[in-house]
Order: sequence, then structure tokens, then C-alpha cells
Amino acid sequence: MRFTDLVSTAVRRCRARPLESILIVLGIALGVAVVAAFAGLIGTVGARNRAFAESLEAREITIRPESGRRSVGFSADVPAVAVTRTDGPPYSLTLNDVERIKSRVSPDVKVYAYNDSFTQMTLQSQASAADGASRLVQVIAATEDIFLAYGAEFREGMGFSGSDVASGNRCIVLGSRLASRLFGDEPALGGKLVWQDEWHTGPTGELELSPAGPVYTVIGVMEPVRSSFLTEMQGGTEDDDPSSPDFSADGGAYVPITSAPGMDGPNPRVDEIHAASLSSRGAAQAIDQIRQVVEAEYQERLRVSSVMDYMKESMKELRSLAAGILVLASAGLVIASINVLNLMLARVLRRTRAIGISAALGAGQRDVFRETLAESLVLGVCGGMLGLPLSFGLAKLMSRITQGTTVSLGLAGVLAGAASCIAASVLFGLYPAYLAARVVPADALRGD
Amino acid sequence: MMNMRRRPMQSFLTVLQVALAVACMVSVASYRMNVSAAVGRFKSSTEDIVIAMGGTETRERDGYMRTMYEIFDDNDIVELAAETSLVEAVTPYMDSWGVQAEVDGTLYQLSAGAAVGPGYRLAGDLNMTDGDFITAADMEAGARVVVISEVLGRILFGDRPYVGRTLGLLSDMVRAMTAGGQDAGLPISPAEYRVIGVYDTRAGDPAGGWRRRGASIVWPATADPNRIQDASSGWARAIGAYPYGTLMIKAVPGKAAAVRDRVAAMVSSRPSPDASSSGGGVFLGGGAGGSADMDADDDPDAADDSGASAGGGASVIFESSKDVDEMVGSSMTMTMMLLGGATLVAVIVSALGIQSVMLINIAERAREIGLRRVLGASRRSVMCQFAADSAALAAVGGAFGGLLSFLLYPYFMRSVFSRMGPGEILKVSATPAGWAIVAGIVVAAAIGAVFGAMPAAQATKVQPAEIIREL
Repeated sequence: MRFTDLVSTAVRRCRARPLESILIVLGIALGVAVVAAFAGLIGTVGARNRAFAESLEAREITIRPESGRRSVGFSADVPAVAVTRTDGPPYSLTLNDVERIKSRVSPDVKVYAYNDSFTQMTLQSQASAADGASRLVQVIAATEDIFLAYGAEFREGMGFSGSDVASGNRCIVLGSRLASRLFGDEPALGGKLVWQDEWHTGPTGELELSPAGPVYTVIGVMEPVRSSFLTEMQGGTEDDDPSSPDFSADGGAYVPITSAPGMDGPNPRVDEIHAASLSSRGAAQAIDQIRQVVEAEYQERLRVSSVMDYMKESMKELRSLAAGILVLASAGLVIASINVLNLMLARVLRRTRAIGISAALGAGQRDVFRETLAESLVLGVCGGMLGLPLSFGLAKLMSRITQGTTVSLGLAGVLAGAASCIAASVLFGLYPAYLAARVVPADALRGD
Repeated sequence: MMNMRRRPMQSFLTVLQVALAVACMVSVASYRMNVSAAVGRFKSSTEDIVIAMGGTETRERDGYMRTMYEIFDDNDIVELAAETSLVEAVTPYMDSWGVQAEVDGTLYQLSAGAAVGPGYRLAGDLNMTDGDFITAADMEAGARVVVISEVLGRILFGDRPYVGRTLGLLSDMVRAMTAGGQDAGLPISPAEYRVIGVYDTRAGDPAGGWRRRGASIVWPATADPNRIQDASSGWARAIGAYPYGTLMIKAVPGKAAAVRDRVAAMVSSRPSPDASSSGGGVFLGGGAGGSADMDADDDPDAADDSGASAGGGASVIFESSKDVDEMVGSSMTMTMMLLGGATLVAVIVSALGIQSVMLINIAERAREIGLRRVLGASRRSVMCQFAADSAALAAVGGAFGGLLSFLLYPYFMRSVFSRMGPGEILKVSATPAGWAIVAGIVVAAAIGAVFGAMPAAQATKVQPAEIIREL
């Protein structure tokens, strides 16, 4: 029997009993729609997490002095007390430590000093429209490898070099967004920026904004850092409030660590050492490598952390949440499947005599089996075809409910919907088909 | 029932599908009911507690900006305590997250401490398990004593008894200031405190310790480690004319509003202190997000009122549990719409299933229907028979669903509910609600009756004569 014949027979049989078929198909459609929509929701959240896992922020590894505090008792059932222990003063990181770690890791892991501070930056008087523009900027005092780690490309000029770091040159590299905020469309290269220590104690004893600090010359403007997750998140907010700093890589400014105020000694203090693999693929190995080096060189005095550590935890949580939601969401489909089983059993029972006759006339067990299975498959596919369009509507509704998350079905949702309706109908059609195939003509014709 | 047994497989499958739908329905409904119950318990346990803070509050775009200052003194406490028709207990109450304890050379960070007075035992509803609470004499003398929770005792000392042990207390804030903002070294030594009592944090704590988290260790407000350290250095917070920033008042049931008015009136004649002298601005993020770490239960109405009425004088911010409703409501809506929607679909699918099974049944029993009609049965009675049949079937399914929900509800609780909405914060019961089960069975039976009767109504429309002709 050809496939098309199988299908047309199945469709004819379903149409012979229209009402019950429609009810079952409707049930499957609703079940499929909900499963697809929830799969879409979970897929959407998952995609956002994957996007984060590939971002610069996820690649970045932080090494900082162990503050001497270790958590010794913080658990879900004791929310009242977060208890940590302190053992002696912390290790003091310096630029030498950057070199020490750098020399022991493979060249595709970039290691750089990272002191960040929020600093009032003022554009020094030049015959420019943006003259005197002043804003709070996240200034990162770093070593030259930060640009390699960021995969930075330059719109104007270039990043500072190792010799700039060695000599403490007062040069500054701007993130793309900061540059356009400070300079507008005009070229930034060569512009002068005044680093103001945000507050200091004035002559009257009051805190006041420092009038002036070291002057920096712009030597480069970066293109937007492609893989920065924060850039994406903050990119949407275009309100340009000079007093609220932009935390993203594109909103910051970068200076050689040795040029920052108070850092001009021979071996300046470093708050944090950062390291990053050049690609997200090497991120896991990079963190292992860094951990080994730090363990070997510094034992417990330094702590290595990465956002990925927290991500793993929250991903695990999220997976369990997703599983629970899917169980609830698939209840409708499971119920619909049970109904398919019920319906097909009744139909096989009702047709026992007809099956007996066709078997007596030479229909093989295989044919009967396939014919019956095709019938439940038709029910399932009809349900799926009805349910998938419905699920797009549901996804829209969900976007409105969850506010902020735009739920799109995506491939995951569509595939989950299509697969689930076919799987459900085939799986639950097997037993009735098996029963039908086992009908013995003699018994069937004798009975009733 | 007889009809059910005639077709065991069919009946079993129908019962099974109904049971699944009902189990989901009961689980989700139970969650809703249990959350409401938990909120109710939380509110009833805190509605008589008034937290009054000196300060002003302005609403920012996504939270509150608070400027806090110290405005209460011991006379206020005496005065309020004397108002026995309004106040059951009153105590200073200053939360502290930055105190460290040293025990046998090991330092522990205590994230939950408070400076209180003798009234806290009653106001904080503490269940003392050992020793005594801080006394008026301790307050008077500024005695270096602490009362700790059982849990903290276990962590700090290991084995009982905890009463009589000593620990060194050291303010993180003070420490940070001495180290020039850098967390480097310990130039000052901790002050020694003696444990005089132990309480159980979790006893009678319906909200899972939401508020009481702030009190895993308490000390007299007059011996606050945040202040008493070496007052000769400039960084120690001097005790001014009004030493206390916050009062916790346990009102006589139903008198909380009157207590708020009383407190606001009490301070309104005082000059507004220079806010920057103590603490400065504290920004509190939006409460609706439901982070457990934030005090999301401030009452904007009360704050606005008192802030406006001050007119240059000192003003008070009140915290209350009113906003719990708002917070629970907003995060509940999304959860319930998503999960409730999925459940609703399951129930509809189940109803469709019942209807199709009854269609099949009736088609098979067309003969019987005809015969009964011919023998004089009314359409009504035939319909009733089928409706009763399917209602019974569905009710059995509902009952099984109720049982199944005892398995499903804890699973959903663990995987879904505890991570969405207020289940994260409130202590929500871990067993399905009885009423939800009853409702589940009733709804199942009703659906069974309606969707069973519909095909029967169709079948009985046919004239008996036609049926007999076919016989």
C-alpha cells in the first residue's frame, strides 16, 4: 500500500466520525500550542544566556587579593547569617605580579592590570563646540594587553603600548560611545582631557570637586567592542546623563596604569589583574590555566573568579526551572495523547469485524498495522498544523505577560511543537495499531 | 459505575487524563492559595509592628532616595512605653550588616545584627531558649553583652551552652574608615562582649525570617560596636542629643495607625537635623523585583504624609507590611498567568477528551438509548444518566488527581514556584491546599457532567421511531 493511499484512507476514516475527530484534533492543537510557546519562552531565555556566555564579560577572569574572607556558613536554610572568616592582612598586588602571571600562561591568554575608578573627566579648552564638556567616566588604568583581550579595533589612532606603560605617558584611549559623547562628530585624536579626582577636602574642610588634575592626550578611539554584553544592554539607553557613568567597554576610557594619579612609583599597586582568552572557545581552558598558575605561585593569597562561575550555578537553576515549566506545559499534550489512545482503541474495537473481513480477504498484519497507525498520525499532524499557528499567538501573549522578554518561538519552539505532536500520536497510536493487527479473522467474524 | 467497569481500558484512560489535568490544576491553585495564606500570616504577624526611622524619603524613578538621621532618644522610649493603650513594647532598632565577631582568633562577618533595647524581646517576638534578654540596667550601663540566635551560636561556638561565652565585636564600618577605605589589616582591636541569652530565630516566624533576619545577634543600643570604639578618634560616630535613628514599636492590636500619628507628632516640633551628619542618602532599589535582600516593605503613603507635614521640622519614615500585597501581587500575576494558562489548556483538553469518549460511548449505545426512549424514558432522564456516568468517571479522575497533586505539587514547588514570584521570599506551605483538592474534584465532576450531557443531548434528539426502525 502506498503512503498516499494510507493517508487518504486514514483521512476518510477520520471524516466518517467528524465530531470525535475534531475534538481530539483540537485537544492536540491546544497541547502542541502550549508546548511550543513554552519551548519558545525557554529558548528565548536560553539564547540570552548563550549570548552572554560568548561575551567579553564572560571571558574576563578576575584575579584579586584574597581579602582573607572565606564563607564558612551561608546556606539557604540559614539566611540570617552570612559568616566569613578573616586570616591576616591581604596580599598586595603590584605591576610585577602582572608580569609574573603573564610569563607563565600561554600567549593566547592575555593578562593585564585593571584598576577602575569613576572619575570626572573634563574636556580642556580647545576651539571646539564641545568645549568644557565634563562627565563621570569609568576610567580603566590598565596595561597594554587589554586591547588584545578586548579584540579592539581602532576608529582613530591606536591603543597605548608597552612603552607608554613603562614610561607612564599621559595618553588616553576612548571607547566609541564616550568619544562621541565628548567630541560629537569631531575628531577626538589629540584632544586633551583633564582627570579630576572626583572629590577632595577643600580648604574649608568641605568636600569639593577638584579643579584640575593631570591632563591626558587622546591617542586612540576604539570601534565598538563587538562581544561586549554590557554594550548591548546599555546601548538601548540613549539618554545622555553626564553624571551617570556608562559601565560598558564602549563607554569607558583607558589609560596606562603608570600614568594614573598616585601610580607613578616604580611598581604601582594593582587592584585587580584581569585575564581573558582571545575567543570564547578558549575561556574554560584559560580559567583552568590561570587557576593553576595562581595556585602554584600564590597559593591562597589570590582569588581567581569569573562570571562564568556564577553563570554555571544560575544555568543549573534555570534548567531545573525550565524542566518544571515544561512538565506543567506538556500536561495538556499528554492528556491529548491519552485521548488519542482512547479514541483509537475504541475505533479498533468498533472495526474489529471490518478488520477481520479485510484480513480474511488477504490484508496482511503489516497493512492493518500501518493503516491504523496512519490514522492516529493524521490526527496528530492535523493537531500540529492547527496548533503551531496558535502557538505564535500564544508567544505574543506571553511577551505581553512577561513584559520585557520578547518571546519568539524560534526554531526550538517550532521543532518542539512539530516533534511533540508527531511523537505523541505515533507513540500512543502504536498500541491500538498493534491490537488491530492482531485481530484473528475467524474470531472477529464469529463474534457479534 | 457498572458502565465504567464494562470498558475498563477506556475508563482507566479517561480517569488517567482527568487525573493529570486535575493534578496540575490543584498544584497551581494550591500555590496561589498557599501564597495568600503565607502573605496573610506574614501580615498578621507584622501589622502591629511599627518601624519608625528619622529621615525623609523621595521617590526616584526606580526606587526611593532616603536621607536618614537620628531623631529619637530615651525620653521618647519612656514616653511611648507609657502610652499603654497604644503601645505594647518599644525599642531602638538599628540594623547592622557590617559587624565582625572574633571567637578564638577567628573572625566572622555577621551580616545580621541590631542595636536594640530591652523592649526588643517583646517587639521582636523572640523565643528565648536560654539565658536572659538585655535589661534596663544593661542599657543604663552600656553593658557589653549580646543575645544571639541558636543558629549563630552553633556557628560561632559549636557546642552548647552559648550563654557565658565571650566574643569580640568589631565594626566593619569603623574598620574601613580607619584603613582609609582599604580593607587592609586591623589597626584596632575588637571589644569584648558576653553572651547573656539565646533565642530561636525560626520559632513563630511565618515569613521565614524576612524581618527577623535583621536580628541574629543583638546588643544594647548604648553599647553599639558601630559607635563605642575609641571615641577620641574623629571617625567614631558621636552620640548626639538624639542617639537613635530607628524605633521598633509593637502596637496594641489595631492601633498601628494611631502609633504612627503619635510618633510623627512627637518629632515634628524638633528641628530637622543636618542629614549629612549621619549616614547621608541611602538609595533603595525598586521593591517589586522582590529581591530578598532589600527592605521592600516601605510604605510610600505614610512616608509622603509625614514628609509633607514636617514643614522644616524633623520627619519620620514608616515601614509597614502594606506593600507586601503590591509586591506579591505584581510577581504573582505573571506566574499565575503563565502557569495558570498552561493549566487551563490542560483542563480544556481534558474536557474535550471526556466529550469524545462520551461520543464514542453513546454511538455504541445508540440502541440502548432508543430502547429506553421507546419504553417511555424522557430525554431528560437519558441525558441525566449519561451526565451522571461521565460525572462519576471525572470525579474519580479528580480524586486521583488530588492524590497525584501530593507528588506533583512538591515537585513544582521545588523546580518552578520557588524560583518564580514570592515563593522565593515567603515561607509557602509545601503541601497542596485542601480546598484546592476539593475544588479540583468538584470542577472535574462538573466538567464531566456538562461534557457528558452534550453528546447525550445530541443523541436523544433522534426520534425513537427512527431508532427502532434501525434495530
